[in-house]
Amino acid sequence: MLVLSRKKDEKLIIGDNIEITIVDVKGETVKIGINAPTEIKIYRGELLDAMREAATPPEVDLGELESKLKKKKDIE
Amino acid sequence: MSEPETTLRFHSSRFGDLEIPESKTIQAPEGIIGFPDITRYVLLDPSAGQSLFLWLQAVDDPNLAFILANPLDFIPGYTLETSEPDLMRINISEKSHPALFVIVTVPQNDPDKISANLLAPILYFEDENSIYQVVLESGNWPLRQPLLAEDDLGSGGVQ
Repeated sequence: MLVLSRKKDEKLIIGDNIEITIVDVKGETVKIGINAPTEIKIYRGELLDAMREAATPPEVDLGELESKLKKKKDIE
Repeated sequence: MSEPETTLRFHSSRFGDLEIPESKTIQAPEGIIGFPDITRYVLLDPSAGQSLFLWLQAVDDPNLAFILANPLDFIPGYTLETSEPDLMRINISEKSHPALFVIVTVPQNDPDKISANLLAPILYFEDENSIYQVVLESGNWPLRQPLLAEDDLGSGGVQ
């Protein structure tokens, strides 16, 4: 992996038309601005991880889970 | 005279061989996040209305299926802000009112940690048989909302 150090307001350019700006750094949070063509989809990494996990549900007994969920609903 | 309806035959690793009228297939013009090239789906309800869950099964990938749920069954007050950029991107104001679904994740090793993705719901436009997934940036909705709390998992005794 290419690792670069950047400071606030500094930019990275990827290819011809993707520009990444470090907007702010506070503690452990980095705020990032991205300029990219609309056809470039940008997602948080954890969203893609979650989608890949959801895409192949395991062969578990959904009925059992559902009875727990329905019981919870009835209580509420 | 109406044309006889075309039947789509395809295989699902979970549901076996399926025959679905072609008019029942659902287009996902943008795909689902992580699966942009898979654009044909069917909604399956194996329980015929008895279950909290529906299945969104890909037509062109037998292994690809998502569990969907109605968020209002679990999360009262779950709503979409019309100002969401993703809703404007899909021109929602020019479409009919969609049905709203959330994707449910069941962890292989710990099914009780079942969660719903409230951050990126599925909008189903029934009149045009299309679905779009949107990412809600303004609501602080969680990516993995647990559907069962610790309390729900006990031996079932009265609290």
